[in-house]
Amino acid sequence: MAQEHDADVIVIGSGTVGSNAAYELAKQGKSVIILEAGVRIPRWKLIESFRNSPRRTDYNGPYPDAPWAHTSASHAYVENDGSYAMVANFLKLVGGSTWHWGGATWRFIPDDFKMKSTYGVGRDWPISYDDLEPWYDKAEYEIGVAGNLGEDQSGVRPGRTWPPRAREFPMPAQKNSYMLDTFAKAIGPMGYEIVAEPSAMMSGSYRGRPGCVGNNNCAPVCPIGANYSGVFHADLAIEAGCRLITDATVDRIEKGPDGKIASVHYKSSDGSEGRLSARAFVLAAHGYESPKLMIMSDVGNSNDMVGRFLMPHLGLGVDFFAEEAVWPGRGPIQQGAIFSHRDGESRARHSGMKHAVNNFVANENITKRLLAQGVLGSELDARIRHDSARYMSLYSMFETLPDPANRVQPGDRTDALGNPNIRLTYAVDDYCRGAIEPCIADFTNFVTAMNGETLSMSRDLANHDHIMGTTIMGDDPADSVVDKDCRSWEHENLFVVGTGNLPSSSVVNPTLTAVALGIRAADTIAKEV
Amino acid sequence: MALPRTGLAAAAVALGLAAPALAQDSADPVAHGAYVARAADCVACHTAPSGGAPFAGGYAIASPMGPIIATNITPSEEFGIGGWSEAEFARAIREGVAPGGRHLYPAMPYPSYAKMTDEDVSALYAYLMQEVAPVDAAPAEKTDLPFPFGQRALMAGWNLLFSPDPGWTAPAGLSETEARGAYLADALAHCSTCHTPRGLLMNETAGDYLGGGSLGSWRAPNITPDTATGIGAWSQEEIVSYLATGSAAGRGSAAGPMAEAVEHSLSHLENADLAAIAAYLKTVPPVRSAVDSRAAPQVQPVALSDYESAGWVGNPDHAAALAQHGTTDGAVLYNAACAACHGVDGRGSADGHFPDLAHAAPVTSKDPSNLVMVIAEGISRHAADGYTVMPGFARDLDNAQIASLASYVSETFGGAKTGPSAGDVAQIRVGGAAPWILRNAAWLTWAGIAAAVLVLLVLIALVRLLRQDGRRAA
Repeated sequence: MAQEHDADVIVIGSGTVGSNAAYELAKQGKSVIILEAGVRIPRWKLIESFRNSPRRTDYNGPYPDAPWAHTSASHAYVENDGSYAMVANFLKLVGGSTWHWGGATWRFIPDDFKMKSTYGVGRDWPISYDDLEPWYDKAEYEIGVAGNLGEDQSGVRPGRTWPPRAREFPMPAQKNSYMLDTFAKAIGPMGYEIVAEPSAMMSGSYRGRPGCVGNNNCAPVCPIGANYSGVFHADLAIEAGCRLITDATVDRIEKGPDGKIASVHYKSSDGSEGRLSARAFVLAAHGYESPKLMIMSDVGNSNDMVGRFLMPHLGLGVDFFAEEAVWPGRGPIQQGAIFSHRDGESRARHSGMKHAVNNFVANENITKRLLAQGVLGSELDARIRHDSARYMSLYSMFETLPDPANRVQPGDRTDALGNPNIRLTYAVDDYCRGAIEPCIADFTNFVTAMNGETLSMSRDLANHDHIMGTTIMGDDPADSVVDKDCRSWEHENLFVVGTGNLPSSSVVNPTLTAVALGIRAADTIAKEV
Repeated sequence: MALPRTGLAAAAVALGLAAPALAQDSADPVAHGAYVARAADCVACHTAPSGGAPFAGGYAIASPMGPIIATNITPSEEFGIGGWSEAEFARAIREGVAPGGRHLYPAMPYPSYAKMTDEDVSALYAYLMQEVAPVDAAPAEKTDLPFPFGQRALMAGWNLLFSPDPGWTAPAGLSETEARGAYLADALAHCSTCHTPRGLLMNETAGDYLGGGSLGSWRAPNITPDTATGIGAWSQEEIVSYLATGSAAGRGSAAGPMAEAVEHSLSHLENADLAAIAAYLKTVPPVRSAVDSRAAPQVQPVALSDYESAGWVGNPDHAAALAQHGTTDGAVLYNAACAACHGVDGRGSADGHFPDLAHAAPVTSKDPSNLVMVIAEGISRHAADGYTVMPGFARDLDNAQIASLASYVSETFGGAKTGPSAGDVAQIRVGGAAPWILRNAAWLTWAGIAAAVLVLLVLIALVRLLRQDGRRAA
């Protein structure tokens, strides 16, 4: 007798990856339930919240942080017991953390997929760049990505479109800001080239979203929705027939007698509980929360690999006053990148890196700095104008290697629903530290090129909001969590998706790669249920 | 000036005469037919939304009587028009009668296409038969209107009253360009199908030609040259820009069905033809519409809400406050949802990229339909100048909020005294108020049957009388 299920597929998490997977499944005719720990908050409400808040530079500021759905704003919720403190910003609401992102939608390059065989470090992926290329393409056209052909993102293949691509970007990149053009001209003679950042902040209208008009407020919240967020696909998924249940924190994944996953249990803030069954399950709850839930549920972890191999992007930053006014803040908050050390033999010795140029309006930081110096009155006005026009900042992102000692686990504290908090253990290795000096050398060149006055150039590694490796993909069931299709090695109807799948971190933002893998997994599931 | 309206009597005489020269090369009938199909916008209705095969039908045309499903007009023998002769095709598109005597509903604008010249009908036929790929499938849905509207034979009577005889006569007194514009507007683009208000029997009311009509949810505004309520103040260039791109800065931005008309048809026409339409629209008799009113902008200062004061990290009150988004304070909604583009003062951007609300027709109209629909559904329009979007807010605002936002906008920027209620918004979004004929269909049906019985009785009486007379005479 056919078993009755609540849905063909249950997707846990309505962020960019979960919503894209749910939408793909619904388009292929599957019945889908999406469970989301947070609630849906309309953009206008978040904009009101942002405008009314004095915490303008806090990227979590406009968003809810509830005792039953904690975000990274609750520092007690994310605890560190390793030598290096990690906090990757994340949100809990329909659409997920891409509500407050910079829209960077890079592809990994082919060498990122074979770090072990090419450079003797890290791991190889169970799939190649060519395997993923059609899914990158699909993800880019779903999300809407603006970028330029003919640019080398590897840093060692000048003049070629790298990584290779089957067709053009959905839209061309936005025009460079004056600052970026000025900077490119200054560093060009030193051998540096600026590459347009593929961006989900669209250069023109796309799929019901207006094009970017330069509010320069991509994070914490784009006021017009030109910057993509997972909420677009959550809404598309609902239109395609998916059922979205909000305020539903999954606290247990239940195994059936046949080794398959039978159901999921969830709790709501009002104390109510639910249990739902399906033919297949997609765990897309976030790079910290997905492995935490698997460990809590004793699912897919008999090899003790879940939550391990935590890879962040670490990096340095520099800020300085350029000699001439460059007028930062026109256009999106980030636009161009420099790949002087991404690919090539140095990667066998130390992390590759991406340098990126910030482009936010500097007035607030400048004003705080001047007030701290005691500058007041008309001089303050004049100095704000002068300094804000000349302020430049760059940041770098270093790749990190997968080390099983770096991990995420359930902690000992509990939230309002009685679920454990997140405990992180991380230590920086020499491979990563080896990138500090080459990075500082580049930064020094950048300041010199602009005849700049350095404000800060620290050697302290900062972490960026990217989480990889925690539900790692591999071709050996002994040392990975999912196979090449994002399927749990232990439970054939459980698919774990998200940036946690990535076996290498590369130097670029991981979201597009996770969306490509998520849609690909959905396509696999659709053939089976 | 006299305009050819319903009941065009001279049509038979005009057949084959005054065929307006096309800007398009007429030498190749198939290419010419493709252009006629564009200008008549066949594809918009005869293609299913979201990726249907062109001309294979399936689009549900909203009518007050229920959805009317556009048919397959590809040259499929079984499911399309592949088996139709040119004469049968001509009769269908100009007289609303398909082979076998099946009557079409005037959702297919045959009262307009009736005016198409023989040459254009022939070219259109050639194009559809030779260029369009046959699709051997019927649309998934079928038209199924409730009684009495399901009785297609009723349309014979309607046609007698309201559909002109086939053929084209240019209105008198027009220049060659204006006459070309009249032909494009009336016979092909069928502007009056939407922009002329409908009478009691859903007929176009001749005296209010292009004076503005309701399409249910959307309003097709007055496009006569009346300065106060029409487009009399628009320059020729502004009209052409609007037709080509859907936008004329400071005038309006096409949304809903007009955006579709721009996207599928008007933006593909030659500039000379758009100029001809604009020239013709300047010549039609101005109609003073009671609805499409323009008011002097009265931009008032707007309120901003308070700064947050409570702590927020892990604060259930802050989270709960964010989860509460049902406010019907129109100023709060406007500032949060709209002001980032249209400005706190509603003036949009200096370059017109974001429209100035004080000069936007949906804002200044007394009919709130288009304002409500644009807020709910936004604008998504491909045209000659690229893709234009205003996001829709139906997912983020309920009907009461849309009502308060529309009221705030029309009162603050459009000079309106009051705006729509939540009930008005609900009705507009489901397709507007039902027309007279639908509201009265039940008793009209019985009245019609009673009248028919009465006529029958009179006829019988007459026949008897005549027979009696005959007998007497004999």
